[in-house]
Amino acid sequence: MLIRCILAENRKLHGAVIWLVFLVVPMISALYGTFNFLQNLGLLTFDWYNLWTQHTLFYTLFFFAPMVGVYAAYLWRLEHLGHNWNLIMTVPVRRSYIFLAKFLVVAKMTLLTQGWVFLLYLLAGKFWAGLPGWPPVMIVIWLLRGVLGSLGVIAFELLLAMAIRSFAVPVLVGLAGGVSGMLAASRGLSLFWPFALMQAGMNSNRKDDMLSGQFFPFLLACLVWAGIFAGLAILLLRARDVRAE
Amino acid sequence: MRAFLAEVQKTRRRHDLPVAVGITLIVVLWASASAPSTADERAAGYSALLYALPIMNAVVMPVGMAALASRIWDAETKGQTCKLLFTLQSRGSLFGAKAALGMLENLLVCGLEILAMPVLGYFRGFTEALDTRLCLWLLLCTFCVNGMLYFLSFLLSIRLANQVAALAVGFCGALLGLFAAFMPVWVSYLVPFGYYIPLSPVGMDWDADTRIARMFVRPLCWPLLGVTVLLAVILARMCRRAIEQEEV
Repeated sequence: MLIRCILAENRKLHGAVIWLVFLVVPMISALYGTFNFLQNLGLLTFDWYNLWTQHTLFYTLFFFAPMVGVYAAYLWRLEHLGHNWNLIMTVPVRRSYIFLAKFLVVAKMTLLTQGWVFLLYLLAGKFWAGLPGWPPVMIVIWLLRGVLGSLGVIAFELLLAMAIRSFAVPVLVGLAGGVSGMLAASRGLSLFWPFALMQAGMNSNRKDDMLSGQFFPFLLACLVWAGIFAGLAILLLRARDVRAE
Repeated sequence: MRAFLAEVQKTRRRHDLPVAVGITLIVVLWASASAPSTADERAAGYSALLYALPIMNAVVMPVGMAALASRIWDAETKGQTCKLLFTLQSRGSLFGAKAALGMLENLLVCGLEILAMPVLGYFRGFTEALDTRLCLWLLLCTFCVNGMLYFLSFLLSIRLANQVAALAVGFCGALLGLFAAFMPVWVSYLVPFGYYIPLSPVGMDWDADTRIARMFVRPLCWPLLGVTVLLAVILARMCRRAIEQEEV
């Protein structure tokens, strides 16, 4: 039944406007990152790691979390329109599956976003900047760690978008989360704040690994945060009822 | 006035006030964390704050204004109330009431940001005197750029029932505006989303050799402020026309 729910959520993404956000935001970041990299070669070393610091400079800090917010808010917005809420409350499916399907689909979207970021990074590095060789494997690992780091944020944004019938609020909260994540990371509290986990996972604007020797605490923190928010959301969804018209 | 009061009534369950305060809080939280800490830095604390706030505004405000505008119009989209409203009031009055409410919320956002400055200065122990003239200047410029972006988002919300568009444009605009700030000056004039930065009352000279930054008061860029107001007026007129032409 969970698979069917996932397929239904996937269908909702067909022709959705959020694909534009998916395409454009990493593209702007890649254009600026490469331009800035080439302009500052006096300060930066001409290698793949330095290009990475420029590509993820603002994207990871401020725009990755609101992007996840857009994905989450879009999937719940459909349920908040018209009589759709009553429809999902009455379908013969476990409430937890409804939430988990949305969670997995947003996680898939995040994974695809990271793939798109990597493709742009590769193309910009190879054909625009003309960097020799290929990107280090570590970059791919950082991107995948970014997906892990985003799990808590995905669950939180989905909880918010489910509870608040507004498209704008989860996006705005995502932006606030990005800022708070940056502040938490600067105080060494990356593992204690879900929005900072995402930035630590992606090793944004750093050449040295922020999580060196700390992968398992990081993984545990990701799973705990995702579990807390997903658990809360499922409890709330079970308590919700149809809206009498 | 009656139309405006009706709009205010609609905000009660929509919690617009916490959203507006939340937008300011994001900027204040950020500013409080990056405020100067050494004695030398505290001596130029307010100048540094006046320099940093427009950069923070360029990240937060485009999304914030899109959120406010989209929520104000989304009430009509979700409730499919236009058909009823257009029989009860003139379309012009509906636009006027929503524009007035949006600008009041904008004023609240900008006003709170300015009021937070002396509070931040007090808690961070700034020794520099706060120049009220520069604060008013920042307030005026932020209000005008916010107004322009509000009407752009409002227009998108009216034209496209899907609120993703307004938010996505605000979101991409914030990214472009921020990037434009670090490009040659002429590039920043081409990206209205980032006008907060060229209109900033304080500039910075960065000496790469000595690694010393010096803050200085900049003359207000009246032509750019004029362009901002003109764009806001054009976009407001387009919003009014969009409401007048709205099919029900």
